[in-house]
Amino acid sequence: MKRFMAFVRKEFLHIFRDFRTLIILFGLPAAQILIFGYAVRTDLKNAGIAVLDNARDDVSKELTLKLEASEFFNIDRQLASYDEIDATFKKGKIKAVIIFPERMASTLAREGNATVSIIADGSEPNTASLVTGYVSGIMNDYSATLTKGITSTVPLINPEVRMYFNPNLESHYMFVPGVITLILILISALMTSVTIVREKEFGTMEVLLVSPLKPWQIIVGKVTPYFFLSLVNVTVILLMSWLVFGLPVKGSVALLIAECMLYILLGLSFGILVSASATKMENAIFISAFALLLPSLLLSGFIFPIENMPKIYDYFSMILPPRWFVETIRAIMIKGAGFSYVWKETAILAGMTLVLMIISSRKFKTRLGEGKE
Amino acid sequence: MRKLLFLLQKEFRQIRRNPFMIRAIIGVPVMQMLILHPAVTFEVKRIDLAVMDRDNSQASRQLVAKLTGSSFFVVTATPQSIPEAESMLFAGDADMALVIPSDFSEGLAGVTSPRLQVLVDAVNSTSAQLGWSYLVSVVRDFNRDVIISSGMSPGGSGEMAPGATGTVTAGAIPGLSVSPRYWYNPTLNYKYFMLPGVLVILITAIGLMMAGLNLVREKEIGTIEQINVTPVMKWQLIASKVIPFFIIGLIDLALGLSIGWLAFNIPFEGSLLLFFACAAIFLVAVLGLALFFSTMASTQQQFLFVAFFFVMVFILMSGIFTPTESMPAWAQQFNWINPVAYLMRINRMVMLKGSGFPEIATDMGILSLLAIGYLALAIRAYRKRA
Repeated sequence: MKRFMAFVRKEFLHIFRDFRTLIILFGLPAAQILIFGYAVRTDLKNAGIAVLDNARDDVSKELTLKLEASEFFNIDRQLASYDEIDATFKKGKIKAVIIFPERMASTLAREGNATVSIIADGSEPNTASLVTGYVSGIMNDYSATLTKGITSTVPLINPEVRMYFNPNLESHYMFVPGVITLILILISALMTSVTIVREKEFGTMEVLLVSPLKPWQIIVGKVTPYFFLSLVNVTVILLMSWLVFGLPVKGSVALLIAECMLYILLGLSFGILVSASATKMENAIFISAFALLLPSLLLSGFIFPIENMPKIYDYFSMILPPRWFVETIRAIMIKGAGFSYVWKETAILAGMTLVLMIISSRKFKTRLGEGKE
Repeated sequence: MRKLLFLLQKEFRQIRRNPFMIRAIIGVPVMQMLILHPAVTFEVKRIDLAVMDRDNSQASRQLVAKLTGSSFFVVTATPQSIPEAESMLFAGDADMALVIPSDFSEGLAGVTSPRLQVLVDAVNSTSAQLGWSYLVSVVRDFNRDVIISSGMSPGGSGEMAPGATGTVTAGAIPGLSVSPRYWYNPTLNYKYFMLPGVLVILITAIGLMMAGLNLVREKEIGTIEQINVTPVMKWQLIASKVIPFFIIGLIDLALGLSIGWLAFNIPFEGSLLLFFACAAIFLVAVLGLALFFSTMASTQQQFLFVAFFFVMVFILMSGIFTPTESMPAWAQQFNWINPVAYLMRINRMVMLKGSGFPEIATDMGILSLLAIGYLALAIRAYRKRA
């Protein structure tokens, strides 16, 4: 046992001595939390718009004030003619142009109805949709003030909305749980595979093999630091999210940690499997990167929702562990779902872990026994 | 000068001999364009709707039919109670739940305000907002149909703010109506929006990652020491390592662009020359960064970690997926030194809107300064080490 602990201690020292590894271990999670928490926002703020006021009457002036006052918009300029629109868009700062028709106030008074045009820059589709939506809302609020005293003779359907789980529609509710997925897979799979292959490549694996340490002790010893570091990282991320964003863990923290541990085990098994097959470090890195990292980033639903991708991606992502884990994490953290809701995903993850462990233990026994390839 | 040409010859030969390189040079653009491009989308294509129709009248069924008729909403469940609907949101079986009260059709026939209750899974706030505003506009169209068919005069109708606080009045109130038009991308095709971004990722991957790995590999193998003792001058050595990937980067960009055009029929409004000129400047900046990072690493793995960290930060902050205007002040200031942010803007403006040189001149200018700056930084760092 003492031997084993000494070995584990050596592994820890290895990790902490290399500042570049530390960047990934600690710098990356911190940077990701900051970026996904603050910078990557899907909502609209300070969008630049331009106004083409052909009416120049009280109504249009009041509407312009309302637009300016809104936190969503920033009136960048007033245009003088329709022809300026294309050039204005080309400059790139304006997302939409609001056009008030001529004699708007009198049309409104006479016919009870006037049409405001919005020309939105469609090259950013979601922004364009949101801009249109928000502008319409402002116009509608104004219309409501106009008709306050008038009794309506038409029935108006009144949809009431309740936004579940994320009442303030914060962007980072979707992203931050996914950061955990990425970091865990990075540490538990990528790092693990690299560390074992490094020993193989430098030849120090043989030194380990002739030592009194048994093969399983070597593997467990190599893997233990990353297990603990992953848990530490998860805790730090959760704490940061809570303190910095007020992002709570609605569900049971114990369940969350348990799921994380399962996922870490999965990552470790994958890392061991990769390291059993690779003889050079760069190969290990590339395999881990392409098979796990990139899919975790892009195809797991972490940033981009899977349901919006072509169907093939949906099917393919079913064999990717990150996809299941992201769903689990989101359900527990944001929705506050209990085990009864996530048992399916948990079972799938557990199954994958088992399979990986069996395959990798088989491969490793034979390989290690034979020494360096 | 001749020494440089010899070195370049050696570099290209090495690249050609490395099977992995060849595969990557062709494979990366292809993979990015065909696999990455369709995946990176925030577009909302479909909403799973749970419908609880307590009214079960002709009117309520017409409303549901109108919703599903749009092919955007798909009715996936019919819960019988609100807790059941809520548990569907929990389980992820439905994105939204619509509750039609039992007095819905009475309200329409009379002149009261029939209510609708909508429960939305808002974990993904963008989908929630877009889904909600689509629902509201369908409801409003339905409202107008009802009014027209009952012979009353339709008033104006407006779209709704996808805000989240309780009651929002939809409907045909006399007042202002809003008519939207979308320029440059009338169908709001998300692929058009993402193509410039994917191309930027492509150049960054080649220019920074591959070039840098190549640089560090030589260090790792040890042959760099052999070159250091030759009469080759530092600038020739650096140039010989940087120029091949400059050329490869531009070739891959052209390849990626052609695939995008062939496979997705993406329009290209502006000047190709301007586009490639800016890409070239960007490549210089990125290669400078690669060189700089390579001095911080002695193995490929170390380089990968450092480069990956910075590349992730740069790309995420660049406005590729989300608008930079929505970012907090500190983030926007960071973007002053983020070359990816500049190329993102330039690419989108030139490719999608056909912006010309005057419009992108400032961005191009600052990017050039960054390129010179990063290259100078790299050369200084390199000199001290070797």
